[in-house]
Amino acid sequence: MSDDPTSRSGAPEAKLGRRSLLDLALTATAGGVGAMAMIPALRFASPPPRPPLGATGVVAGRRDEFPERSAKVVTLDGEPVLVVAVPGGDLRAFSARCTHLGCIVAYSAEREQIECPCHGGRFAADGRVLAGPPPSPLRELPVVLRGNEVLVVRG
Amino acid sequence: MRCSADLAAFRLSATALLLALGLGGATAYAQAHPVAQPAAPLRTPAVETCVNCHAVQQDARLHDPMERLRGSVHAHAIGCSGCHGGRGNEPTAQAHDPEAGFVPRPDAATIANRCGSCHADARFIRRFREDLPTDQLALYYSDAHGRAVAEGNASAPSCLDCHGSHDIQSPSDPSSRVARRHVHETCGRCHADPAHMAGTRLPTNQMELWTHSVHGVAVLEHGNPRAPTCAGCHGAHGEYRDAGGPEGRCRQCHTDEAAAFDRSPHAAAYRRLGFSGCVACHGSHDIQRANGALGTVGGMGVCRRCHGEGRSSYDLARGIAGDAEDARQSLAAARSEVQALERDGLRVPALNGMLEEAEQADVQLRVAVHALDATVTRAAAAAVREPAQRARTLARSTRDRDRRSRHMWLLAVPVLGLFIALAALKLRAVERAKGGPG
Amino acid sequence: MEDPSVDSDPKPLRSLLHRLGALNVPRGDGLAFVVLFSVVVFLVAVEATTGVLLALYYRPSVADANASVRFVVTDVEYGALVRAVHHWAAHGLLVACGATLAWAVLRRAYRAPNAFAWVCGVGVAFLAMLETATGAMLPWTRQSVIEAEISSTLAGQVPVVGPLLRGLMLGGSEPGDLALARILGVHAGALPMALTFAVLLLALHAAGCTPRKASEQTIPLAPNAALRASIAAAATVIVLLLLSSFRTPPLAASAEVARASASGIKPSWFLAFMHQMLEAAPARMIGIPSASVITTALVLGFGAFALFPLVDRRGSRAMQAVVLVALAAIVGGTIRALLS
Repeated sequence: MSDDPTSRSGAPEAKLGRRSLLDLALTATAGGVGAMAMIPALRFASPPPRPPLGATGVVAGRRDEFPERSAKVVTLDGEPVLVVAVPGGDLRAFSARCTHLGCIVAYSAEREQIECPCHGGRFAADGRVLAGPPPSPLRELPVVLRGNEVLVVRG
Repeated sequence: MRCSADLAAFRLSATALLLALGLGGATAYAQAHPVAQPAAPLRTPAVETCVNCHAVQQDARLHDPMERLRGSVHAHAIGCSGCHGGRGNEPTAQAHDPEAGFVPRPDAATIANRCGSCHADARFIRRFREDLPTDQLALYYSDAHGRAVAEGNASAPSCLDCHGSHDIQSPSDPSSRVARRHVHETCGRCHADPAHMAGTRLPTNQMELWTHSVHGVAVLEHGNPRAPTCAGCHGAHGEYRDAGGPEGRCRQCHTDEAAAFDRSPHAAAYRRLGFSGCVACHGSHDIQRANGALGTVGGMGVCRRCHGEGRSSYDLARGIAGDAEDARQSLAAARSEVQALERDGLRVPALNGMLEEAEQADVQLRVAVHALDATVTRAAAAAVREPAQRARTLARSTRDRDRRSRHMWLLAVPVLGLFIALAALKLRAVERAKGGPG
Repeated sequence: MEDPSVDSDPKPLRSLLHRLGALNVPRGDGLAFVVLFSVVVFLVAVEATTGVLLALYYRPSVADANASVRFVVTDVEYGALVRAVHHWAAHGLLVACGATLAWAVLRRAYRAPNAFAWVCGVGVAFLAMLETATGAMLPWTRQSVIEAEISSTLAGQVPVVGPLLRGLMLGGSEPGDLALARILGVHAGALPMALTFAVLLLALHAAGCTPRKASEQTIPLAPNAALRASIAAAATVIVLLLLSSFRTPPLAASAEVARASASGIKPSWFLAFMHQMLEAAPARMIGIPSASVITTALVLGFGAFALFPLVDRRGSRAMQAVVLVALAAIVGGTIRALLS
């Protein structure tokens, strides 16, 4: 806010005082506006409370949390995923959404199959339709072991 | 027909074909299609001398059938005499000899029997396909179409009326007349034609109704491979005749609903009154998704037929219908609030879980309603309402928080306004000062 | 220059500011252009700042893009504000550029010696349009995919270089991860660079054209013109804040999960007039696919619009009328598309 030298030289004392007060106020407000703009920018850039979802997938748990014939439901991108330790110990992951009407399926260790509670859809442990109304097998998602960690990766 | 002349002719033609195709291609073809070169001779050779004359016939009726046969499932299996009879590889008079079974346009019973001569013979048909059934002919004669033919009804259909004749295709071929997407049109050619159905008491609007029903939409628009076409409930050749009729078929897919219904007070009452279980409420060909269309919105819809106002059971029925409807409305409200949040870019993973829970409970509520029991329905409805209500509460608080933070931004506006005012004052002062002495 | 002491100033920054402040700006139209230009520069700066902030969280992959934008809006403090301001400032920039150009046509301000400024101005407007179009594609919604398909198909229709252009845009035969990375590169790299360059050229041109001597028809850049510019900037911020608080920029679902078809997808408002032309045209014109004809016509039309002052040095009324009619057609087409 540089002042105009020509106008300052001819101005009376009182006017000069008022004007410098105005200058001060203007400078202060401009500084305030600038500072106000800095706050959101800094807060925006500071680490968020919850980190974003990784690009790779979701950790379903430790390998030893999955004994043979056990299962667990985890969430990937807001979608339920059923991780099953099939007889023999292999881990497989399926979208837990029944292909019929989208209910969440569950693993039955006793019958070694995946069952839908809504309309009696039955799937084999490899996702195939065994019985009931589901029109197609469960969508399988890749499972990756990272050390002792079980990762379900986006299909 | 297994004479050596036929065999020789067949071999000759096969050799010519091999030469024409080129040896390499033909070998590959033969490996891929072992059926084309069966170990034993066919009932009638696939290549007959009929083509020599019919190919040069000017009359399309004598010429076209051959062309159409070429692209059909039978192209490599049977020749003309397989269905028309006669002696295919002999001169015209013998070839068309009625004594040898020649029929230019076989009637329905002849057709059924001639198709059956191969298709009802398990040992014969297994040479071509492992999985083809061989009971169609027997089933056909056990069901309405076949019985009408047996009784001499001239307008009753034979095999060809549904499957086509020369251009016959496998039902799994999408262009087949009995493919899932076309079978309703094929049935409709007779059943939707009032003139054709004139002598019967059958309605003619089934095809139209089914097309717009939940099943028709599932088959035709969503390509659902399990939803029933006409044959799904009525059977193709009569296989469901003793399976409880079409209604027995509902139960084979909708098992849980059927089980709930059997436990309901309606089961015995319907039996006593002679009502059919599913159809009495849902209709048959025109079944719709069981929302308001079934009539639970406000006025109780279909329930009102028996439980209208003034009846002693009115309050009970209204309670069940009202519970179900309340649950569905709260689910719909929760869904639309979550969708509105998502449109504004807000992401609340917990909301999806709650909505999920409510949607699943709704599917179970749809089953539970069939028990027609106020306590069961109330519990199932509560299982929908509770997560839906939680979702709505969370959605609303998210929305409020978002709105509050948006309004917080406006606190900057007065400061900016002050800046504008001061800058305007300064500008005036500068320009006045300059205007004065300068 | 006027003040010899400036040259010997030991503080170079102050010296530069002093020299800039001492520039004389014409009153009237000239002053209005200075204020409008300052709003454009201010909005470009807002876009650059908020754009850098948004880039801190954006992940350019088909699987993550939409979720990362949602993360900004929901989980990052002031994320909704930054995204909304970035969105509305982009549209404000288009409006400011359009208004400046329209007014330049009305006042025939493109005449010598300002033909070069006009070319730069059209360049800024065009680049701003591309910025907004590419930015709208970054959340990878169903609309992004369809726009990527349509625009690359249109680019493929440009004579001779079409197929090459299409390949360069998509990085493959269909929109995917590579296309998204390219869109980001163009939106956050190439275009801002070109935009800064064009704005700088305009500023240099304006500085070069200002009268050297103070007179009755001029006012000094600082403080008179600068104060007006800051008032305009503050007013712009108020408008941006009001829009951001009351109008949330929509964010459709990721194309990955969206099941909706192309129906119900509308082009962005500033591209709507082109869409209208494509829709109204018959399938083939003079034996060539009409998309090809229209794309070529649009390229030639934009070129002519940008370059006509170089030919029409006198600034004839007839030419002004032609340009006005063209502008009116574009505005009319846009309004029609918005109403339909």
